[in-house]
Amino acid sequence: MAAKEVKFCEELESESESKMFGPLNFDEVGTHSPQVTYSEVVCLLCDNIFNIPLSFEIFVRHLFEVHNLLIEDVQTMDNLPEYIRYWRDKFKQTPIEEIVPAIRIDSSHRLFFMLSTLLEDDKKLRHRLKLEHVLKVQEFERTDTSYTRMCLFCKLDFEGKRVDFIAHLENHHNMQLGNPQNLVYIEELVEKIAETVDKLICMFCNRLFPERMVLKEHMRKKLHKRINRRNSDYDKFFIVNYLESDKKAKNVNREKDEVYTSEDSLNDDEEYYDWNEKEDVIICLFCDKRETDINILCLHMEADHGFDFAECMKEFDFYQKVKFVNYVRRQMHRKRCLYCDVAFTAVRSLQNHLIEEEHCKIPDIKVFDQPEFYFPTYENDAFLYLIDDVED
Amino acid sequence: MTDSGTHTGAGGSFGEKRGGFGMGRGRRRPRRSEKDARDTWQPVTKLGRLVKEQKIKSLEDIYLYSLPIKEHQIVEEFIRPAGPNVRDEEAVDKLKDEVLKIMPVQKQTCAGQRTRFKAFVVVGDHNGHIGLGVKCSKEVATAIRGAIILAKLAVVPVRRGYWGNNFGVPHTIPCKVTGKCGSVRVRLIPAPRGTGLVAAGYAKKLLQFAGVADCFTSACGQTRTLGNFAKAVYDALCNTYSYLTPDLWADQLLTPDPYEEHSEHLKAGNLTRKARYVTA
Repeated sequence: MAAKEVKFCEELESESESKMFGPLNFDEVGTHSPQVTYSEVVCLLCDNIFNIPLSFEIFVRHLFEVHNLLIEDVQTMDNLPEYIRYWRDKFKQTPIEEIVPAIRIDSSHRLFFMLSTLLEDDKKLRHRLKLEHVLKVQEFERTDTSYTRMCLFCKLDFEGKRVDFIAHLENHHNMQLGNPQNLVYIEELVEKIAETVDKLICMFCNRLFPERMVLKEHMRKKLHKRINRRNSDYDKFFIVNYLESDKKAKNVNREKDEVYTSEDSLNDDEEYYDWNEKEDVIICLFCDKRETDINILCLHMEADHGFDFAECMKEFDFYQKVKFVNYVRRQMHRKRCLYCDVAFTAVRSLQNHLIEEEHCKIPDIKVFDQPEFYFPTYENDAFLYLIDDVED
Repeated sequence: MTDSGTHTGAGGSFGEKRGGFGMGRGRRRPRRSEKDARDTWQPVTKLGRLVKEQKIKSLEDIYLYSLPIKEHQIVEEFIRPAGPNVRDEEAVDKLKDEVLKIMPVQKQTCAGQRTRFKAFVVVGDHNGHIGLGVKCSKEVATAIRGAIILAKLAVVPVRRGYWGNNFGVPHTIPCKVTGKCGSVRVRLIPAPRGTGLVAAGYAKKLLQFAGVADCFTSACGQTRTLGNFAKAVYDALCNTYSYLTPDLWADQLLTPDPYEEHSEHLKAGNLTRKARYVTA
């Protein structure tokens, strides 16, 4: 009696192993905060790889010593990798001597190349990178809900979105900072205002007051709880100032927005053309290889794993293809062979088995044509979105 | 005109209070409540008048006759805009909007190159209505506001159906539909309950805003152009009601459209401003 019960429990346990488990996630590559991203950069003129920002100093010194190249304001540049990539492509087409002016620093005969805003291309590039960076920061600030701060004027302990904090300052304390959609670096802005007020200086007219109450009264009566537009210290917080690199904001504001186009054309298909972004990364079914194009990935699977996706999936309809992909993902996660269901302890040994036995092929249809495989094994599995895209 | 109505909805943060550069003399403008904004709307189209006087019972009546919607307040009248910071679960049947992307674009004019901000916005009520809008402007806030208005004008109904059995709440699309924009083709395929939305980033967001719970997607073409990709998904969702499924084969009586039905009301009373001026 007892033996039977034990055996029953054991069977249940082994069954529960194969039962469904929660959705899995692929390992994410790269960090999300716009402030710091680590990336590999190939040098402009040779093929050495550097890791920015970790080996930033080494990279700059390398450019100076090996290539005699100086980059103006390299410390403050946002998105240095993109900048380097642009110039690398440029120098592939035309040699550096033709584009960049050369100067002599010391009395030696070495010519130094200087990449600065004197070059039209360089100026435009820097402006574009700056604008993109600022918009990325703004996007982060728009969606991030983890901003915490004590209010400047009341006892509120604020937590949430930055735009809501600005709205609080406006509604409760009558402080006009501008439409939060137009602001960027909001944290810094708030700190700056807090500092100014703590030093008992009025934020609008910059006069010093003896006491906090006097300052508050002054700001209330004179309606000085806002930013002086002539004060260029606050320029960096308004996105409109990043629009044109050489013009000031008031010139931009004077230009009228073109509102006279007909209503119909505004939501046309043409308006959607310019938004381009990096494609989603697709991960191979059997290993960790990542690609952006599904056809290249299929070629990889054929070459490295002996699995011709297009050929095998010919007779299947969409739903069966989806089920097969989910089945393979599940088997790989559990480290079992998809064809013979033998279990392994390490992924490497499983991959070797697949290659040796050529088991990268479709098992009996009843094995994977089960309703449980409708549900994606991995969240955000890009392979599933592009299943129908595979060309023969 | 329509501009006075822009202060409605979408929360206080989109209000017209610019204290920074340009305007903002520190004048204290009273906070417009949602109800005030709706009351101050003066419709300029016939449809707008009928909606304001509540002669039209639901947005679906407008869709039935394919009447063009030229005033965004019409849509707001039927689906109330949700306040700021409303979670998705609570926002069912309330019009929620979200900015997908702000990007700089260059325009060539006689005075040189102009850089402007372009805002892509999606609005939806998480229960069968979705709209997509894009607007360009020199200030981010203006672009967002304009895009929200355009998105509200472009709100369309989304048909939901079942994958297998016809019980419970419709959770997926009724049949395979495809949408296209530019070179991108997006195909939406029904999925069983519990699958969730198997779609890339922005497509998932659009489907959530439309109120579709489960769906497979299949995209082809240059999916790097996210603008076209989003529009293609929107197009596919529009097509859910364009597809004639067998359960719709039954004949339907032709009923008069709202303009005909309420023609007496439109003629009488509410004279146009010009007419009022003349008779006064």
